[in-house]
This record gives sequence, C-alpha cells and structure tokens, in this order.
Amino acid sequence: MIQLIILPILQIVVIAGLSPLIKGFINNIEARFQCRKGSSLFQPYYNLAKLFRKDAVISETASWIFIATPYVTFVSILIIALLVPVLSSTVPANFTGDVILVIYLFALGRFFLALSSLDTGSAFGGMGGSREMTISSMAEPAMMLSVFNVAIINGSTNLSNITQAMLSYKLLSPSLFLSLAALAIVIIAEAGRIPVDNPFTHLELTMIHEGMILEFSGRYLALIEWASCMKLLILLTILVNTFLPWGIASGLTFPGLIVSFFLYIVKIGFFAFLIAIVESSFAKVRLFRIPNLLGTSFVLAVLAIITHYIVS
Amino acid sequence: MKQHIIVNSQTIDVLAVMMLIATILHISTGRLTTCVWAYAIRSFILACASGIIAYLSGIYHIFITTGITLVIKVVIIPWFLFYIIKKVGIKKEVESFLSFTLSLLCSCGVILVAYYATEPIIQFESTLMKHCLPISIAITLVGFFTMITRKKAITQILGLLAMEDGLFFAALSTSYGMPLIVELGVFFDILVSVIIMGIYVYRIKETFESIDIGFLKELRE
Repeated sequence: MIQLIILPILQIVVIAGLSPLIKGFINNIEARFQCRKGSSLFQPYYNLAKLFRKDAVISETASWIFIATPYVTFVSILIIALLVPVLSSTVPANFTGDVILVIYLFALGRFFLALSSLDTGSAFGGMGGSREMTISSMAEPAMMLSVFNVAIINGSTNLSNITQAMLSYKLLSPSLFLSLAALAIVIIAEAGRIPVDNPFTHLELTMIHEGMILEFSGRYLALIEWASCMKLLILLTILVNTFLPWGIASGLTFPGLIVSFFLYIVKIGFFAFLIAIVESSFAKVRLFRIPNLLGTSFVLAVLAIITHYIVS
Repeated sequence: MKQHIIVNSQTIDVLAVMMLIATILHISTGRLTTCVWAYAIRSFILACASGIIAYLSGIYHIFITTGITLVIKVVIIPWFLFYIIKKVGIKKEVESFLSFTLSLLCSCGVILVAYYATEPIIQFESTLMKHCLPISIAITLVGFFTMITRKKAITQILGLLAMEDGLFFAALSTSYGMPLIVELGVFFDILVSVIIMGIYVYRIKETFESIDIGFLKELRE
C-alpha cells in the first residue's frame, strides 16, 4: 500500500525537481567550452520562479486552446513521468499503458503546442508549428522502431518488464547497440537540441520549438519551459533505464533506492555531458538536412530489427 | 572460460557494429572532412578489434598488423587526406549522383543483402562472432556503392579505402588474418595507391579547376 503512494511521489519529485538542474548543467558545461564562466547550475530554477510570479499576457484573438495548452503539455509530461522506470524497475502507472502510450503522450503535448502556435495568428508561431510537425513526423517512426526493437528482443512493450529483462545482460548485443545509436539521434531531435533545433535563440531562421512558444508569457511560459526540461530528462531516463539499467533498484528498499539514485545521477550526468559536447562541437544543420539526420536514425533502427531476426 | 570467450566475442561483434555505424556516418554526412573523420574512426575501431582478436587467439603476427593499422590507417592516411583537402581547397559539400536520402536507403539495402547472403554461412558457425562476416561484406559493398555514386575524386578514394577495410576485417574475423607478408603487401599497396591518387586528384584540379570526375569524360576527343 505504501508502495502505491511513495513511488509515484518519488518519481514526480525526482523528474520534476531534477530537470531544471540538468538544463542548468548542460548550459554551464557549454559556457565552459566557450571559455565563459557560465551561469549558476540553479539558474533555470530562478527563471522558472520569476516566470511564475509574472503576469501573463494573452492575445485577444486567442481561444481556449491557447490557455489549455500549457496545462495539457505539462500534465501529459507528468503522466509520462509515472510511466517510465526511474529509480526502481517497478513502474507506478504500470497498469495503464506501456511504451506506445509514452510515445503518444509526447505526441499529444506536441499536437496542442502546434495548435496553440496557430491560435494567436502570429506568423512566427505558425512557422515554428509547421517545422515542429515536419520534424516529428520523421522522428516518430525512428523512435518507435528503435524502441520496438528492444521490445521484440525482450518480448514485452512494458517498460518495467524491459528494464527487468535488460538487467540480465552483461554487454549490449550488436542489435541493441544499433537501436541505442538510433534512439540517441532521435532524442536530440525530440528534445530540440542543437544539430536539429537551437534552444537558445529567437532568431526566426533557426527557431522551431522557440517559435511555437513565442506568444506565451508568465506562468504559461513557465509551465511550458518546465515541461520541455522534463521532456529532455525523461527521454534521457528512457535511454538510460532501457539500455543501461545496471544498478537500478528492483524492489523498494531504502538502501537500494539510494544506490540507484546516485547511479541514476551519474548516468544522466554522463549523457547530459555528451549532449553538451555535441552542442558545442556541431553547428545547427540546415532545415532541409534534418531528414538526412533522421533518415540515418531510421536506417540504424531498421538494421537493428532485421539483424536481430537474421542473426539470432 | 566459456563465459569469458562469449563476452569477448560479443565485444568484437559490438565493435563490428560500431564500424558499420561509422560507415553509415560516412554515407550520410555532407561534409568531406566528416567523411575522413568517419574513416579514421572506423580504422581505429578496426585496430581495436584486431588487437582483441590477436589477444584472444594468441597469434602474434596479428599484433604487428594491428600496429601497422594504427600507424597507417588511423594516422598517416587521414592526415594525408586532410592535407589534400586543404591543398586543393575543396568546397565542403559532398556531391553525389543520388540524393542523400536515396543513397542512405540504397546502402541500407546493400547492408541487408550482405546479411541475407551470408545467412547460410553464419548459421553453421558457432555462436562466436556472428556479425563480423556480414558486416565486413556490407562495408565492402557500401564502399563499392560510394565509389559508383559519388562525384568527387576524394570520395572515390574513401570508397576504395572502405572496401579495403571490409576485406581486411573479413579475413581477420573468419581466418585470423592473412599471412603477414600478404598483409604487409596490402598495407603498402593501400598507402602507395592513396598517395598516388592524392597526387592525381591534385593534377585533376590543376587541369580542370574542379575534382568532379564527370569532367574526365572530356578526355575523349
């Protein structure tokens, strides 16, 4: 009974609480690569706190969708936080859905963001929305294929079962390695990081995600910013806990959770560091080159599935 | 002991897959320097794999080929290619007869052909190193494919080098490498041919003001 209460709260606290820190960490590392001192690790928290205190300005032409969007986006991400294994391989909302639901909840949030970007009638918003939908239509199949490969190998689409099964692997099999590479590329596209989208700029030529949220302000903007931080952390969590789940707690014992928490921080920190390196060493690719990048990911995922069938 | 061998052969399988990923990077990138980096990375992984195979099999001449691979393929050839790219002043874009997405899908098809073609053979092998033979043939075929479809002379050299990598890895993973004298000959061949082709690229550039091999048709007069 306690398990039913503690685990969901723990997961929400870890995901929602740590996600701005991860963003601050990536920003700080990137600043250091550029020989700047960089802002504090906690700067995203201050930003969120400031935005929550400010008034929101809403366009007169906006309909109810514009106001509903921040809540829909934020809540859909919170539900995903309950559907992925974070510190323990047990998943709180295990009974409601599996990895397919996770992918479609991401799609739900994105759908509402694109609607709201059209809602205010701003030209930038519509451009950002159309770009986001174009990219997601290519990122989604690649993500599904790479996740399905893991599901096929372990015989279940349930993330909890996948994590349990992956715990017995000593080393990733070649097929899993291919889908890991495919998923890593998709995560960069889904989270809107640099080779695909630039999260720091409002320049109209480059923006995708930032273009969509241009009209939001105050607490609505805070909710969306927070949701996008959480999205990055959740994507990294899926990557870490399906492919490298070593050290994750199987039950709900206190020492197990502590060990699992520290390993989780180390693993997520490692991947966040990798993202910072990638962002510092690559330029954003042209919009028409993005299909090329996501096509690579798609090809890797297809190869992963077919090599699994042929070789094993 | 059995467990030990299986884990290590799986390491080699994973290294083979990393070589495949480097080859796909070579296909999918639009920049020449990234292509050369992909070649250097693939050669480095190849050297790692051959080092592990040498250690596992206890055949010491493979250590020598590993060392030569490290020196020639990871250091000298990429350095020379970078030197040529700088000297000729090539624009960064890779040009191809097919679009990028299409050539990516074609090479995916080629890789699948390699897997299907070797399936009867790897069925009879033991559990060790099942991915190596298909991947080495796939790298050879993809190298051939880039030689056919890419326009620039430098990318043709890279295609040839990919074919050589694939053949070397096939020999290494199926029969612990060729005799030392043969491999030394192959290394020397590759080094000399890359240097000659580099000079050739420079001459093409001097004559036609471009290294697009489409211009070579104008030799027929």
